[in-house]
Amino acid sequence: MLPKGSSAQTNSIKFADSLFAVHKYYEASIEYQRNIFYANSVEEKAIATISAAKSSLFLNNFEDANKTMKGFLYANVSDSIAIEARIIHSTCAYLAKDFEQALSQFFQLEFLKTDTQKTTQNRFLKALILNELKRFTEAEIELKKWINNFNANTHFKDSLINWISEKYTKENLPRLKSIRKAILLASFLPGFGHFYCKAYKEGAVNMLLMLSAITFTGVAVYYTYYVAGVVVGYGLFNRFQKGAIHRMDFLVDKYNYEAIRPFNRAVKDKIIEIQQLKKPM
Amino acid sequence: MFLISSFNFNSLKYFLYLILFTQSIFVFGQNKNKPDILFVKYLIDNEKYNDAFYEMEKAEKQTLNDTILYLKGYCFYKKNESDSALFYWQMLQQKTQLNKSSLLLSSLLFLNEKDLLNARKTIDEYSKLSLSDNEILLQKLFEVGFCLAQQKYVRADSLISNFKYDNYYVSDEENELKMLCGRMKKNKQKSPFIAATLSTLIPGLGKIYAGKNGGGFGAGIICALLGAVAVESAIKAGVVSAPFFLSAGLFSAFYIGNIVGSYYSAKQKNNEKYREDYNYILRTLVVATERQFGSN
Repeated sequence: MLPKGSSAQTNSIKFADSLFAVHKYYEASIEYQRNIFYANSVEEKAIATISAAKSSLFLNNFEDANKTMKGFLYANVSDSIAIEARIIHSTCAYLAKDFEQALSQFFQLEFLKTDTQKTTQNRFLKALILNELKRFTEAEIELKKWINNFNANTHFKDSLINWISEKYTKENLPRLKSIRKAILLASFLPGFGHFYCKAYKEGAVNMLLMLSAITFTGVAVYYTYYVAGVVVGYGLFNRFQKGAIHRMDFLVDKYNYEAIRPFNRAVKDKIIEIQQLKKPM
Repeated sequence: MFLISSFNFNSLKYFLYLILFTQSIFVFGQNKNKPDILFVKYLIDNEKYNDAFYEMEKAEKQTLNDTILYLKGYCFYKKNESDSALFYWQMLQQKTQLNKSSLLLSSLLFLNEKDLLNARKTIDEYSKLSLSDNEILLQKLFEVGFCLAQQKYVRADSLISNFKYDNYYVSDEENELKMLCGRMKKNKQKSPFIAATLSTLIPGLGKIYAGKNGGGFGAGIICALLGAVAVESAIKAGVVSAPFFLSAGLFSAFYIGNIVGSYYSAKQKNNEKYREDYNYILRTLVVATERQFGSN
């Protein structure tokens, strides 16, 4: 057991850092947690928490990293540590697909306003989060702000801004489907809700079933089987229609998810490319 | 004289170095081999069971003591891995506080697996140890829990009548089990046969009897509509006709299906109620046990 405030405590932090340096992230994460437990001050605890989250990130354990950062205590820590914590938390939440949390951390980071440089340097992260939340206009603005802050020549910056402007034009943005439109189509035109979401086979089957049901109703009524027509024909038609409307939620979500994937991937790749180009500058 | 004193001083110096060296070996060796129990408990409290287990695994086997064995078992208990938890707890020395705690937690694991026989056996084993007043109260709580789980209300009532409700550790749970016992006694089991008979007489009534009002009304309306279709077919096309056979067949299938459905609805309702009460018993016992024992 490490006595609080002892030199052993400092040694333990150094030990954890040394494990981290040689890529022994799991062992390092445990040592950092030990530091969180035995920390003498809020600052020590904060630094250990950030390092523990970083270790979890390197272990691809994003959920755990996010959970660790959720336990970060912002009260009484210096601004520089708070800023770093917000950035790490935002990254962890983004990687753990907790996008609302990631954005919330970034907003709080902007609210601090004490280190605008660090905030600006990480604007690409906010853009990535906004892309995931399908808020493309805001993402474009964030990316442009990020690039404008580069310490590079105008030609380089202009070329990147042109790339972003082109990428975020109406033609290149993923065309998302509206759930309202899909439900309206599924309600009034059998199978068209499915066609709108590009689920052609499913739409064709749905259309066939609904038309068969309505045809049955027509034929039954024509031959004066009114009860059979209404109960069987309309009953079946109603069930198929309700089923189709219910299915629209899933199909629209699936379509939109698949539509934004390549776009977000391309933006992410470009950001990585820019980061690599920035390094020698 | 000078030489002698110089010789003594040097030997004393070397002797001190030797003591320091052996002490440092002892101290460092101890730190390396012994897991940090406080830290392990902190990890467990933060639901980092794998990390806690890793921390304990770092210790050499010679340092395995009851606390480590208990905490290792406790990590598995928290992860609901009963076999592994029992494996470590079986290695504990008898008649210790940790052994008592492990027996209660083992019983909870058996209860969780609906293995009432082994759960009871474990509590019997626990009752043979020398127990404090609080521990005896906990044992009584378990016994009431078993009686309620087996729906033995008379025995449960007699045990509950001995509850005193004056001990902080168990008073809330004593009250809860008493209320649950009253509730369970009032809950009448739904007879699947009555449900099936009611649905034979009036389609859907069996399901309403089983407590599924929406399903019952729905089934009744559909049966009535399908019946109307069959009657219409009989009137329009005659009894020996394809439309009548088709509609009557559909109606019959739905009618019989509804009777079978009502039978299983009543059974399912009974099971649901029992599962709900069983989980309540389990939760009550878990809270009382963890309040007294847990990772400490």
